[in-house]
Amino acid sequence: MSLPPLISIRDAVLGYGRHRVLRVDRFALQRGDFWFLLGPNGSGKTTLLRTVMGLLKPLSGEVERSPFCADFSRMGFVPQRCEARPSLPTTVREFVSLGLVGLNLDREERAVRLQRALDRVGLMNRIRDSFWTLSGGQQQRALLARALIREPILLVLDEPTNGLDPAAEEALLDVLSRLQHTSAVTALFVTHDIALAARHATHLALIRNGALEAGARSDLLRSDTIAAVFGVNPLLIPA
Amino acid sequence: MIAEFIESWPLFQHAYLGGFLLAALLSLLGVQLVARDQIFFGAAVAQASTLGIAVALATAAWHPFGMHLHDNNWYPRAWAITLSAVAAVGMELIAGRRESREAVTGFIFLFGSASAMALVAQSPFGAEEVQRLLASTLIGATARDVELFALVLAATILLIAVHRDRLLLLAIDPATASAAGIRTRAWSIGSACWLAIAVGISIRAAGLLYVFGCLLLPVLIAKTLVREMRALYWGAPLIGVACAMVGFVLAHAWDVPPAQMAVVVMSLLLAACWLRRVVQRGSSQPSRTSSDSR
Repeated sequence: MSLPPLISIRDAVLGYGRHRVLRVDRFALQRGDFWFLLGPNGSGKTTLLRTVMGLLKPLSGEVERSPFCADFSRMGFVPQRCEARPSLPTTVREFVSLGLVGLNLDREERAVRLQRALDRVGLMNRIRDSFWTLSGGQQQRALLARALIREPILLVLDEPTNGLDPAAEEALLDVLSRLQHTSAVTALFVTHDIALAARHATHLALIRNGALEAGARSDLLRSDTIAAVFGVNPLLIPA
Repeated sequence: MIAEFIESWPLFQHAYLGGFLLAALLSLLGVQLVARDQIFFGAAVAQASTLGIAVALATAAWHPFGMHLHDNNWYPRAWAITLSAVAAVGMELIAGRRESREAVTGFIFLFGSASAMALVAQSPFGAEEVQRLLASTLIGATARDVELFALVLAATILLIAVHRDRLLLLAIDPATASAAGIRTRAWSIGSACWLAIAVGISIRAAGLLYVFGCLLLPVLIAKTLVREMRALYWGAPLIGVACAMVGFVLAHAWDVPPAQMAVVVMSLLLAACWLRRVVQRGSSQPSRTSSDSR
């Protein structure tokens, strides 16, 4: 018997006010899934992310949440890049522990979570260093640690590999793959990188013509479906 | 020099105490502005607050009990708080949508300063008062002012003690703050209102220069000295109060206005901190290169 989904969106129209952005017939995130969300710019990826995170109510239709995702305490978010100014002093320790905002934990538990999150992304040895002395890839892993410190069941990543070199990109994806296997974290990963999705996704969510098409990677990762999403013929889809 | 300052204490105690309390209060609130890189937000709110004082003076001149209203500290203060709150909330709501934050801030600053002068130009005492506010003087602080500043400072410390990390995350990464369940819009408007109240109660006693100086300079100094953002919340007020103390002592000894002197001391300390950083970077550059090459 399969567990009920963490989040399930059915027959929904997503948007803002009177502006309809995206139609979702069925989209269910199960525990341990690694979803990649692909779609052109302005197609409604952020709208879907905001709905999944509970920041936006659908204009119509249904969003069901399991008790694990009923509030924000077991959700983690990794933005595209760090928005803070480099002139602002901060250490890796402080930056990552800001991820605990909104959680009511004692000092000991906070320290344990900080260590665990930094261990997972391989930055424990940089804990006392200035955040700004980290490389681009390490900064991105610190952003991931800031989300992981919440010990999330659902992790939402908004194009976190943008601007990273292939080695840094692979290091980040390695951490995510390990998490998926060891902790059954569900990830929803937004990207334009089809090759990355082909290597790591268990499921794909594709946005085309204002509608979401979601399913297992093996069902959707075909030249015709990808070409329909991006309007170009993807020659580099691995077998 | 210090003995003379101490001797003058009974005469100017309210002005000095008011100055210290405002230095602590405004530099605490300035952390949020500097973290959000909204430096001139504080100047625009202070200028809107000056316009509030000008409106109070102008309406007092037209009112049958005008002089009574003018002498009552609460009437101009209520106008100052109202207009600074309107400006602060307006900037939060409008900025970044159709116009850049800098454009809206610039508009409020210019509108506030020009209309404050225009409004009281014909008033017998108004023009002089607005000039005094723009230039800053601490002599006008009363015992009631000191009590009020202490109360607002205590409330601010309490708020920051409870919500420090929430405020920092909101300042550096609103998207992540939102994903952590923080109602970012409500918090931004709430912070703007709190700043407006602090500036609104300060402006008549301290003037624009001192208010803006205390919002900005102690935080910028602290930023060069500490390693974490959280430390700004104790570093900036300490630096603000220390600079105010040195500024007031020097002002008394050299017979210059204390508010301006305090701002000069803060500015010189900031310049020294920036210089120290440049020198440190210069001296660390060759060693880093040599270790990289190894």
